Amino acid sequence: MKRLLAVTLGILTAIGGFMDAGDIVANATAGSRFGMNLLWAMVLGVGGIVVYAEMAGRVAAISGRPTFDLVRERLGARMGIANLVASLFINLLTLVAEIAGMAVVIQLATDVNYLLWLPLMGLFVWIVIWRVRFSTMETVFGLVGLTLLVMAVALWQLHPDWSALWHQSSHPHVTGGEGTPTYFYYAIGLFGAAMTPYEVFFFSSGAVEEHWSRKDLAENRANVFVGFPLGGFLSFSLMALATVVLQPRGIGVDQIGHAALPTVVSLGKVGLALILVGFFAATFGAALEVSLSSGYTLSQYFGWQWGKFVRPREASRFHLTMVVSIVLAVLVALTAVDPVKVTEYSIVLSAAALPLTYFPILVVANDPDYMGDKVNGRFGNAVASFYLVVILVVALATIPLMIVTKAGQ
Amino acid sequence: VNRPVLHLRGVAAALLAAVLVTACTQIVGPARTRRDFELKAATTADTVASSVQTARLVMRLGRQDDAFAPYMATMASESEDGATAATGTFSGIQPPDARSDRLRARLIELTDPAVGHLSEVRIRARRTELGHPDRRLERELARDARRLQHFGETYG
Repeated sequence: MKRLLAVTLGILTAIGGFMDAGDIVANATAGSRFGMNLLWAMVLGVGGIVVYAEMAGRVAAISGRPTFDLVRERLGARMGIANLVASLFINLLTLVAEIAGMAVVIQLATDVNYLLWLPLMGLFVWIVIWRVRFSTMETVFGLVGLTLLVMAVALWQLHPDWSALWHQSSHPHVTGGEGTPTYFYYAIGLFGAAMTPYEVFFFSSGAVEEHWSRKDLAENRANVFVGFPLGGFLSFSLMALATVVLQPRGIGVDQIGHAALPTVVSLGKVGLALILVGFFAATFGAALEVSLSSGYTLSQYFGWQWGKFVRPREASRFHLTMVVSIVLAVLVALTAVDPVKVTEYSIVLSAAALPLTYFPILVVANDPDYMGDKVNGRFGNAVASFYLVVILVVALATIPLMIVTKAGQ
Repeated sequence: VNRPVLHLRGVAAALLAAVLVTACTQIVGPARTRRDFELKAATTADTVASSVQTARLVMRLGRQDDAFAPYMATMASESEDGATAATGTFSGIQPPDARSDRLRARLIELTDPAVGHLSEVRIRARRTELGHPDRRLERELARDARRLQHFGETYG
């Protein structure tokens, strides 16, 4: 019974913790510009993160070591440094987006300019990382993030034309007034938002933090195969809401408040309160994960002591990395860069760097020296290889599409 | 050449690439042809129309008491800022010929009153007056949205 409760809690946490600023912006923007015609890209991305997060969790549970640690050992320092530099750069952009997202949500609740909230949000992130236990942090933010289910209720309350939504989803095409390159640019954004690299670094390092072993493989599968797709359902709800409310009115998503608007139209003040809480939990949870991910990657590359399971004094460089990341992110955000634009750039550039993260995971998951009898099966390898091809195509297409479309203009 | 130098070169190349990509994806650029100018005008009209439509929804939420005052004030203020930024950016683009001059004047005729109406919404939202319907302002905003969207469709 206790085990079942733990698995259920893990699934709920995975659902609530699935979304971040990138998912919010990407899904709302896609819905407002293309309706449900880009749902396939989001579904493809969720499938990809399911496949590779399961692998990363399994690697951590069997070997007792996180992905990044093994990447450097298995593929050498040169591959590792490329991975490290790309990951840290994208993590920084993502952290800017998450901390700015938190501040914008507070602005929506208080009408006090988000720039004033930024230092406080940075401090808040650091205090939670410093003081709160890993499992508590993960569970609390995951469960509070479940308030985002209000989007599904809001969608249902709007009584949308389900058949029209289904038709758009199942017969995707480029909508009028939009170019094909722009369509695929946003498809890449959705794919990148679902497969953001920090997620697997955090997931595998978190498994080590929680001392996962072989007996936790079932929980790993439950979290990933049930929790993540249900988390993807939140993305679907947001995209559908934007399709129903924003697209017909020609409203584009240039601020996070726009992503909340359809829920407010549908459910009024209750909807507004719940979605703001959900957005805050989503961006706060992601800010914690990205900060930790930066600490994990740098420490694991250089072989420093890392983790929240040891005292900060014993992992001083790990904690220092996180402090520096948070300070840098706050400073960048304080330059008043557009939070939505930063988020868009972070998810698109993530997409360009995806092979650096995911290819090594596939290599390690097939290495019997690390995995013993838990190496990938044939089916798993076939699916992972398919995704690797998709990831490579996406990585090659990202920068040219970004230039041709002027970042989706 | 030793390894640290190679690493530094790699980092420098990555930074240069990032700067180039950012520079190539900037929205503001010269309009070399009339068509280019028309597309920029259409994008501006769409952006302002989006702000106007947001303000209309905010007014509706206020009238029905369906949202908290800080949210409506922020949304109204951001809508005004978005429209002001878009028109400011467009104003800085050099029209390539006399016909583009006329197009520019036509767009400004549409955006100037729209921005004015957005300011009115922001002022009312900050004074928490959206609960009292203002039919005139709602009608003006509806007309702004219709005209701007038509402009965007014509030249986009």
